[in-house]
Amino acid sequence: MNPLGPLYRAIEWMPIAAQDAVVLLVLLLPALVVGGLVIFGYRPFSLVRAMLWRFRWTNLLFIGLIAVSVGIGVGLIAQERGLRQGTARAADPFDLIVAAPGSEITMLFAAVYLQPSDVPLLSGDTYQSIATAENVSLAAPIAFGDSYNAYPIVGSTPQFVTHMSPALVEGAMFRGHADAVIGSGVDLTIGATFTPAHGVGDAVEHDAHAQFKYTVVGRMQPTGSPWDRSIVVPVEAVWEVHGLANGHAPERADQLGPPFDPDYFPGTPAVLVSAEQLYANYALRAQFQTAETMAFFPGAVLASLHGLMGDVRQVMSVMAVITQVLVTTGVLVGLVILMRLFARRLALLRALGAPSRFVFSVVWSYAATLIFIGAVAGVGVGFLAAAIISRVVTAQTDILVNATLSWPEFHLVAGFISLTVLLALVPAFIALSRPVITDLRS
Amino acid sequence: MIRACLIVLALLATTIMAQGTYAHGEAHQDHDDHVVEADGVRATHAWANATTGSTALVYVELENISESAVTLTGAETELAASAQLVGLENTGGELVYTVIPQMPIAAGSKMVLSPNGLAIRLEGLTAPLVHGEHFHIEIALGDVHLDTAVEIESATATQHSHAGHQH
Amino acid sequence: MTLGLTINALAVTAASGRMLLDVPKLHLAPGSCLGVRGPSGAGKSTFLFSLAGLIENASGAVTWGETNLLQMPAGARAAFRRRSVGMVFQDFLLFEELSASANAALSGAYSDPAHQKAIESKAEEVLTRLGISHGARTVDSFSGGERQRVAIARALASDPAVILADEPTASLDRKTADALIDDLLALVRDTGKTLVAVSHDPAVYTRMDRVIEIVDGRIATDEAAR
Ligand SMILES: Nc1ncnc2c1ncn2[C@@H]1O[C@H](COP(=O)(O)OP(=O)(O)OP(=O)(O)O)[C@@H](O)[C@H]1O
Ligand SMILES: [Mg+2]
Repeated sequence: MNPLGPLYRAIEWMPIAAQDAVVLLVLLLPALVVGGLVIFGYRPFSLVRAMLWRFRWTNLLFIGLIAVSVGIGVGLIAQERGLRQGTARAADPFDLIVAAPGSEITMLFAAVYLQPSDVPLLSGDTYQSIATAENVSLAAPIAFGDSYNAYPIVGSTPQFVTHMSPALVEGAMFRGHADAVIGSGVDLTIGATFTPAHGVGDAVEHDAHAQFKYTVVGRMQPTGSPWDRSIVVPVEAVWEVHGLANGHAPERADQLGPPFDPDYFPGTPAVLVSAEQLYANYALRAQFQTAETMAFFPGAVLASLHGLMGDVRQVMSVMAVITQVLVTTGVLVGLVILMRLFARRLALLRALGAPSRFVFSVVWSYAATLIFIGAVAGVGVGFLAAAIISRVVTAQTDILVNATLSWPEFHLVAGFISLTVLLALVPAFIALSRPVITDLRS
Repeated sequence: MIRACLIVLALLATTIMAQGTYAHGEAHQDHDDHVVEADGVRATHAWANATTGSTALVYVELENISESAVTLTGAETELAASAQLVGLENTGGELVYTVIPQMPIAAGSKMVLSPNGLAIRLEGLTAPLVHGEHFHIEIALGDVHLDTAVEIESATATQHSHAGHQH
Repeated sequence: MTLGLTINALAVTAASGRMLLDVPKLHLAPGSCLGVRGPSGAGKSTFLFSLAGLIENASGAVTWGETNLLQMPAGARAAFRRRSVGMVFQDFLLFEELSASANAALSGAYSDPAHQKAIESKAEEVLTRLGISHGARTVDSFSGGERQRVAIARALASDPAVILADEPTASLDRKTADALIDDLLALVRDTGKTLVAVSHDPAVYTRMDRVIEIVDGRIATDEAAR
């Protein structure tokens, strides 16, 4: 599939960075070999420099076109990787999600990325069996469904808040049922009070919980995930707001957090389960893949999605190269036309007796210089494009995306350079086929 | 004319049925290869993706039908320098396979090694894995050793070609 | 090294079938200076280009020393020009963005490194001889006369046996033209080069050894200069 596969296999004994550098060199090799063969023994560069300077604005336009097409291409590919890393980083705190059987992807979106949807609830007994299972170090209900000003309100436990944000940047953990800890991006101050609305987004019912008021007591660290725009409240409060039992027997009604009493547990859409050891997480997943429960690793679901997207990525890379080659072909056609402006100078060289290969090397070096500068500038444009698109995506999704160019993009640019520098042989041949005397007299 | 048609149909039907029987017989034959059982542990549908690389992941369904817990400790194959149990882990946004030295399987429970989860990672493959062929792997569960055939599926397969069958 | 010229049945025909040049016979002694005159459009430039082997559809023989240019492939003709011919064109044809020195030493860019040094020092020498003391300046700021000198320096830099000059004094005032042609002739005669110079200017061809007049592609008169 990957034409570079055999190469990587041959050099897999090297450190990763060395492998990438070797691949970069190999990809640049055709360009270097062609360049060496074309230029060997000659010094065309003062002429090339003169010609570049002579038509500097046209050349700048050509370089700009190449740079933009290369830059957007690699910027998008970097973005795709950044998005994968960003979504995975946002899912990092979520070791194992246990929910009622259904769609893993729906639950992933709801529990990890806070895109709520109506899902069946897990019962108190189920929660109890999860919380008391071997090796479980954290079993936190994630009760979503309410919101305030488009900030999702999630009911959980103090342990969950500590899991998401080991320390609070401001204030303190909730102690009372009406306390709330907010995400780093929530536009509320410590001490502010608000009334939750039932539902999220368009389906919100503002007056449903009109009698209830939360007070902000603390703020979590930034997580680079939609949880930065969330409000975490005691799960007991969420149940109470909905007129349900609050998870504890009446004589312990003031308690916050686990243990919960299965008889007074109204249900939760999802439970975040965490174990210290990786093997234990897998054992727990196996244990809770039952008829009543679904257990999954957000990371594994993402990996499957990424696997599906892998083909998309390859198609994208190919499309990017094709677009870049098309733009460069356009530029080379422009060069053939520009060559008419150089025709007299090239004819002069040939009239003076310059070898054909020298004239060829002048034209090729000219085109190759435009391509090379364009590609290098394209890397700069790519960094910029990746940064800008990242910012837009982060603002739109609340998932922190830090896309930046890396080896795959550099490899792509190197391949692009080699391919187009070979294409640049064409205008050089065309320039050689022009009639000397006609060009000389023009 | 009608008689001729009927005869042709009858002939065709017999051939198809014969083929059906044959196909079934074949499935049944390698059925035995798909399930291996020893000392109360059953391994089903071991498979791997075809590759020409030097590492591969082997997936298999393990079922502990015994009365006591067993522990998956590793594996061994002539085809690779090493074989280790690994699990996909999310470490700060990087999804990587981490070695799991020991994996308990409770009595009467099932442990599925499948893509993007648990797998036996073979490193230092001595030969390419060719689609349609198979190789043998010895799965170690404490003292119990299960020698099972690993079916090599296509490079892009996401499950065993017989997955979903009840054995 | 000097080269003589022998022309036999040289004919150049345009694609349209029109006869552009028809020279049955011409011999030029090594080291001599030939002036070429004639009305505009008569074929003087075409004649000069034929001598350099630049006309593709020329027939007959143009033999410099032992080499018949018209029987050689384009690459060999280019190699011959490179080695043995210096050309001065009707309208200079300089690289405007390069310095006078770089223009004069242009052929150094495609010669071997040892040769390049010789070409560069020769170019400097000729430029100085022709009174161009600001060789580092780019030629786009040069006057017509100065450009003409740079073009002549370029033709002489590789020390060729043959100089082919097309209107080397066109568009120069009398005094400058006289000085330039004196310098050119001195440089050529010092080293025994063969010179063929096309010119409308009587002051040029009266200084030559011999003058031919081309009319309608044929040599109309051929006489020793007075
Ligand atoms: N490739 C060609 N096809 C057809 N006609 C041509 C071609 N090249 C030159 N000519 C014609 O041949 C004639 C001779 O041209 P040439 O340039 O040799 O004249 P010339 O004597 O140098 O004139 P001038 O003094 O104006 O420079 C002209 O009429 C010109 O138009
Ligand atoms: Mg002329």
